[in-house]
Amino acid sequence: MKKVIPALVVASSIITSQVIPTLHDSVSAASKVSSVNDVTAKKQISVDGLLKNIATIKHGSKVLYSLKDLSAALKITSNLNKKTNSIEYKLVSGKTKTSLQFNFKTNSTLLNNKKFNLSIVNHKGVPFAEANVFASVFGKDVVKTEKNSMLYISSTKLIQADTYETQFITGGKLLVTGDSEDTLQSYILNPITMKVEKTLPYQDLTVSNNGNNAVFVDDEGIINTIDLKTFKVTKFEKNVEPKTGLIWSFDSKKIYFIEGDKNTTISQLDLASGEFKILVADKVENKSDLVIASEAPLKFVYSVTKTATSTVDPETGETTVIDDSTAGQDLWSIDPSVATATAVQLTNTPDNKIYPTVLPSGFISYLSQNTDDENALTKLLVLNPLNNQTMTLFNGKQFHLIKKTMDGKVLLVQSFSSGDQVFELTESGLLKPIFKTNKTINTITATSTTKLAFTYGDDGEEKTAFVNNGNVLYITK
Amino acid sequence: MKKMTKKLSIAVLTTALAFGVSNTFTKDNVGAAIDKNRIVIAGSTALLPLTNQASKEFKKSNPKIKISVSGSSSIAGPQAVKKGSATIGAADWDATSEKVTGLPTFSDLKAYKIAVIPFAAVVSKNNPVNDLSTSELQDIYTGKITNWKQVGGPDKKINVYTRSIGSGTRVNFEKKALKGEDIKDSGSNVEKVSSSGLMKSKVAGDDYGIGYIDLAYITPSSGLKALSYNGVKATVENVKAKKYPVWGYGYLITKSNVSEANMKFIKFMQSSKFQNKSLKSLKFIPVSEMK
Repeated sequence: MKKVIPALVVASSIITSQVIPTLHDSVSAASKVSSVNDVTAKKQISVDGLLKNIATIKHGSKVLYSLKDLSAALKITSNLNKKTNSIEYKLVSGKTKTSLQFNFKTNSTLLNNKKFNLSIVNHKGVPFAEANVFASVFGKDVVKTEKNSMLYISSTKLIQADTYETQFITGGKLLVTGDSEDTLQSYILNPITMKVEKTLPYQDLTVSNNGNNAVFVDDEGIINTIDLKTFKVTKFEKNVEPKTGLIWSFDSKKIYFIEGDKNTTISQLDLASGEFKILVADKVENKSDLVIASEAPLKFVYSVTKTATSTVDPETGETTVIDDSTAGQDLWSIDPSVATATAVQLTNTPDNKIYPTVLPSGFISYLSQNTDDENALTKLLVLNPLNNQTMTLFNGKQFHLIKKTMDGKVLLVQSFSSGDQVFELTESGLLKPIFKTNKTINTITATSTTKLAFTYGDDGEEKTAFVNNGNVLYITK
Repeated sequence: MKKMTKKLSIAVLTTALAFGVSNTFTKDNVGAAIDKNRIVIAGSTALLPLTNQASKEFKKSNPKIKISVSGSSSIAGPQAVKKGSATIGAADWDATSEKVTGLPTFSDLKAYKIAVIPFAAVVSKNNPVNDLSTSELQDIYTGKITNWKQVGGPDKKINVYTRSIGSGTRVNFEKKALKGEDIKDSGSNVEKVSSSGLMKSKVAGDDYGIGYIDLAYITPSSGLKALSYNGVKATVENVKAKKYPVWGYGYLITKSNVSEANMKFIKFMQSSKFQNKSLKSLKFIPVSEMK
């Protein structure tokens, strides 16, 4: 078996002054040779996640790739016709045949027997051309990257959809939810090979902490789990209340959620027994952002949103006053393992509070935004639940997202004018840089601090990027 | 790579936040204080679970925007927008173009479709009646049928609950379930309620009551039972299959020169991300599924 070199490990070019041996030595050199540097370099490219060495030349400002090497790497057949002094590259995919012919004598290119404008340079009997154009002619996608000179080619088309949600699952694969013009579905995508390994007709999936299962609520309010290896779906039909904010227990054996049309109750589903249990029924409405603070004993942190009140004229039905002086959002906690426990209000401030996250120390971090001051930065606050003291960390930095990795690390995303920087907030309180991107990150998912993925783009046009050891690859279109 | 690590020095970098800061927006200045980063939603209580959920999610990607949500009745939504006390009015019909008897049309405002709302006639879960026809519902709501015995139930007076004029739920119920028949508001057995929440508690607590509400409020714990309509169950599936006709579109209504923040919120509610996640889980139907 061939030894496979993971393409994403190394991204370097090997400079060589030697002319690459060619099958086309016998081809007439009569054709016009464009001005090129007299040095041939070998570059590594990734094809479906495997590294391939390809000869390249510099042609003006462009790097051109040997079509001999490239066609072999992309499994495109080549046939040399000595009689006509031309070479044909051919690929048959289902009922689609693609033929690209290059005539060494006339320097002309035909695509499916029609004139095609592709600049092919004959360098010492070997045709060289831009790899992305050559690859796309044969239905391959060239993956765009950030600050990475290596070329990534996928032999299958990248997902083209509004991919607004991406999560890691078992085996380092991604579960991507995408809405295209035709369908709304989730894809299991291998971010190394870029291949879609499975499509699932479900959305709004929440992946378990071990990555083996996902949960979703169907149109009837029923919880369904799906095994991400066998794709077996299990329905838990005993409870059809509306449910939001589903989260998994640390051991992936239970699901906790907020229940009811007014988001009042916190409940659990034990997957082994199929039993539902109400954990909190304190009648406080509008709970959201449910987070497990600890599992032994079980404690939750969550947000409670207070709505505005409308006063209506009973005669006309017209609203006379909208009072939002008490509207806002605060953090609460509760210990449902104690029968008599009541919810504890942790904050009482009018700021917007987002991404409540429990740190390994047990402190609760969240982002706070003063909405009365347009120029106020979003603050990273850390709250001690024992005394409700809140502290601002890293004052002056514009953080906009907090997320935990699957292995429990805390990620912070900071905004800059040129894009975002992702840090790990270490247990000792350090900000450790993970990667930079020129995009604004909407959501982020990570198995660890070395394998991450994020979504970016406007609502309705979101795309997904994969980050491997700091390299950012845009893996959907 | 340049090391950018910064030591967290709690003593140096932390600032304790003062608690108990009072909210600067009072009921007196709501109208005047609406600025470009403020979203004030008023109107339909049928849409309230939806607008409420959307506001919570929207804040995550738009923390600088202050959103407040309240519910009273659909007509109050465009009225509040017109007066300037709300930036978005939620309504269960297109109040900018659709003519509804006795109610104004707000042709100078703009409407954005955000959801499909299934409605149902409801009784207490203890009521044995499961199904009513169009004519039976018409007769109950016009006072011609006053006893459950007349529709296969117990020999008990029917307590009719209805929403006030201006309620979008009422507009849709009259139009779709009663086929244009006007509800008779007067009568000793008729009680008007001011919101979907109140309708839910009134009917659930009255074994001989009947009302109407949107499906989002009908949950196993609500104490309500959705009645089938002409033998067709009131379910999301039957609405989508066009077998069950009692549904309407939900709209967000704004002034034509709406701020970027408000437009962003509307687009968020219309996005696939919201339509196919939270909207569905709250038993509304994505707009795209009714094409």
